[in-house]
Amino acid sequence: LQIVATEEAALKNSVSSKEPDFAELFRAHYARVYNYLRYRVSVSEDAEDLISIVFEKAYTCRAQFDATKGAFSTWVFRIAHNELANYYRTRQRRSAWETESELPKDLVTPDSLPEAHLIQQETVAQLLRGLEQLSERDQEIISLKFAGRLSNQEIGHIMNLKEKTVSVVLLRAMRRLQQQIREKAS
Amino acid sequence: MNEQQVADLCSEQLDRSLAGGAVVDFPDIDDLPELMTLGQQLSQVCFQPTPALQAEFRGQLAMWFGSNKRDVQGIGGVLQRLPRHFIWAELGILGGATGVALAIGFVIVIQLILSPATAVSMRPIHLTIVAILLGLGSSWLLGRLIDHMMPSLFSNSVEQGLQVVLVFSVFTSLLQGFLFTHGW
Repeated sequence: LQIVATEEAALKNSVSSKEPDFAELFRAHYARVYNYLRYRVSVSEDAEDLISIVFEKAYTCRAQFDATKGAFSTWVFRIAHNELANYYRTRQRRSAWETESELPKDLVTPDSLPEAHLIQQETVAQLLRGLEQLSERDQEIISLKFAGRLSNQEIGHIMNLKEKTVSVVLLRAMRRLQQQIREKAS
Repeated sequence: MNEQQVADLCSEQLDRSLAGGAVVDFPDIDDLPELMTLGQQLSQVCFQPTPALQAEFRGQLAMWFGSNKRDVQGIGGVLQRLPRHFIWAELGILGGATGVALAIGFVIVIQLILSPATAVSMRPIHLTIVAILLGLGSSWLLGRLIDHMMPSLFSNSVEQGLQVVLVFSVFTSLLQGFLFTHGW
C-alpha cells in the first residue's frame, strides 16, 4: 500500500513537470525488485549485477514509460523479468541454493529469537529448494506474486497471460510447490 | 467448483492475506488453509539489498537525477545546483554567439549571392532579432544534443536547464548585437 501511495505521489508531483518523479519511483521499487531477483537467483553477486542492469535499463528507457498505459511497477518488473530471461539463456545450469548450513546473508529474519530463527532457517531452506524444483514458469509466477507483491493483473501483463489464467497457473504452481516440500520432508 | 473458480477464490484470499486481512475458510477447497500458510511463508522470505549495494544505488540515483530532493533545499541546495547552472549558462552563451555568427554569415552569403554592387543594408534591430532567433534554435539543438549524448548531465531537469540556456542565449545575442551595431 505504501508503494502504491508513493507511486501515486510521484506521478501526481510530476503533473507540472511533465515527467514522473523517476528518482522517487526507482527508490520505492528497488527493494521489491531486488527481492524478486533474489528469489530467482541463488548467487547474491549475480542478483546484484542484475539489479544494476535492470535500473540502468529503466533509466535509459524512462521516456518509454507511459503512466496512462500501466503502473510503474508493471513496467519495471517487466524489465527485470526480461533481464532474468536473458540471464538464464546464457547459463547452462542453474546454481543451487545452499541453505543447509546457514541462511543467505541478505535474507531478513523478522524474529531474532534463536529457536524461531532455526525454525525459519529450516522453512526458508525447504521453500527455496522446493521452488528450485519447479518449472521456469511456476518459479516466475510465484516470485512475481510473493517477492514482487504484484497483482494477478500486473503479472498477466508481464507474462503475457490473461488475469484468469494467472490465477490458475498460480494455484497449480503453489500446489506443486506444496507437493515438492511434502516429498522432501518425507 | 471448477478449477477456475477455485483459482480465483484462492487468489482473492491470497491477496487479502498478503494485505494483512483475515482469510475466510471455504470447506469446498480442502487444501486452501495449507495454500494460505504456504503463501504466508513465501511472503516472509524477504531478501534485502546489502547496505553497500543500497549506498551504490543512492549514488547512482544522485548521478542520474541530481541530489536527493530533501538535500536540494536551502543554501546547500543552491550551491549543489550551481555547477549545473554554469553548464547551462555556458551552453546559452555558446548558442547565442552561434546565433550572431550565423546571422552575420547569413548577411555575408546574401551579399555574395547578390551582385557586389548591390549592398545589403540590414537594420541593426533586424539583425539582432535574426541573431536571437538563430541563437535560440542553436541553443535548443545544443541542449538536446548534449542531453542525448550525456543523459546523466541534465538528468530529469532538462526543461529547467533549457530555460537557463535560452535566457543566456537571448542575452548573449542582444549583447553581441549591441556591440556589433556600435562598432565595437
